Amino acid sequence: MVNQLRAMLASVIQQWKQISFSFGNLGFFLATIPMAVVFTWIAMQRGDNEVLAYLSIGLPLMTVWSGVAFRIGYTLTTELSNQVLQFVYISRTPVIIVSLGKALAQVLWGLPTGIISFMVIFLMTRTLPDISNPAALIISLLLVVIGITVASLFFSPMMVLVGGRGGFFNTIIPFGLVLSGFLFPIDRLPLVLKVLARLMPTSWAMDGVRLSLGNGGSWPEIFSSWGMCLLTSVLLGGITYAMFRIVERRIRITGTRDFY
Amino acid sequence: MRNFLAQVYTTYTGLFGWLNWFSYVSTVIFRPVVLVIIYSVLGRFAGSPEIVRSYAIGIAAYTMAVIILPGITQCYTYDRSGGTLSFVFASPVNRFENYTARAVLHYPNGLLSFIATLVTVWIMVGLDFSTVNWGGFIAGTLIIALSITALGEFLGTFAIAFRDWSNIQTVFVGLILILSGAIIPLDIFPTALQEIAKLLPVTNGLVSLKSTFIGSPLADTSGYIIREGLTGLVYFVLGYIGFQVFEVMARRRGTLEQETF
Repeated sequence: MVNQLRAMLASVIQQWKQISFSFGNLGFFLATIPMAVVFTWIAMQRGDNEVLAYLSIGLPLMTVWSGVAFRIGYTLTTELSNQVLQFVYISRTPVIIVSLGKALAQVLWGLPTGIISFMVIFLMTRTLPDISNPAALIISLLLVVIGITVASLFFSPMMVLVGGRGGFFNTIIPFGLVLSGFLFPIDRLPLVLKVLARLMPTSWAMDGVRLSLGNGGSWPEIFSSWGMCLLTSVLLGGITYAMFRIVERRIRITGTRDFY
Repeated sequence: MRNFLAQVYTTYTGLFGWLNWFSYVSTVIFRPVVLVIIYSVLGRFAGSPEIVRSYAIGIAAYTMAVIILPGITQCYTYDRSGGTLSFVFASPVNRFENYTARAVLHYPNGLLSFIATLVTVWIMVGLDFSTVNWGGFIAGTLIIALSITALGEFLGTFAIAFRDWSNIQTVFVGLILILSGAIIPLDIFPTALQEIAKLLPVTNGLVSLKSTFIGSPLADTSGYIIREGLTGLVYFVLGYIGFQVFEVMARRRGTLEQETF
């Protein structure tokens, strides 16, 4: 277990070093501003403080998700196409541990986009969210980060299995925004989408966020949302693990490593 | 003409990275649908369930930019990164023909996205089409799509001349979202910013589009639609000049595969 954690940390560091801090990546951060401006403007139309408070927290998280889901999703495919995935499989460390480390590095790298969005909202509204339960909010935010990581990692083996090509994420990311609960509470969605959204860990974690703001919610409600977030994270993580195993099977047994 | 059509086909099929069934249908059709869901549910959450109707035309115009611009710029950047641009420059092909051909099949993608958006708003919130001045509305849509396509050609030159070209595209797409009046009304911005906004595609044409949508004759807003067309023409010409300058510089400096400027 300790060795696996050490391996994961090493992959965080490796991915972190690999992420380019070039001028070219400026667009990744710039792209968050227009979205933040427009969504905030819509929310400001009625000036409802509850809505603005929810968006002050959710919108930055949304920008983190939309930035990193794409990057994490392509991790395994990129390694496959660069012919370095086989080295990961030669190592005794499970590939999901390595991928989780890489995903964490991507999430850490994407967090500044959330700060940019938060600044945009603050500049436009000149108000800070009314937090009723700071401890619950911090834990809920941590769970959101876990949810983003798990949900994004899901796409990494999936991209390999379905042979995802350019444009694969063009709809998945906006659809993820609908289901994640970052922009609005899930109960505002039509029933079908609501059911789908409840499979996303972030939708439960965002319930925790909502219950920590404004009038707040009771601890049992908050605990219940955290519990469901963890449960759906484990469920999604399990599916992701199974997909990683299928990818591994293709590589080790069927020998179709470089084919989709 | 045959040469031109061959280039239209090959640049599109060979250099458009989203031309596979899943990516194409999801990008051109489903993404606008999801965008409408986001804006309408957010509007409902913010206390204005009907507000998405007022954004509908703006969102539809914006979705054209979201599909046309990256489509055309891919056509340029993959041409360079794939090493095929050198063959174009080595050949005696008419440069203007080649430049124009790259955009042709991206234009209908924008129109498809536009239609998908409006149909979704109609289904979701019952957008009222009963008063639309169809002639003016269609003409306005076609001209806005043309000016966005022209911007795509303009940005395409950046895509072959600079490694970090995507920042410029991000800025333009962001400016269109914020300043074109697609969602945020233009008159809330300072006058200077409004003038800058009028240099963007969509901004002028959208005035006409919104006006004809509620039944006004196109003649009422013809000035806007002419300006939209001229805006597109300026981008198109500037893009072509950039394309020519790029070739001259790349030949002179031997920097086809590097940053040319």
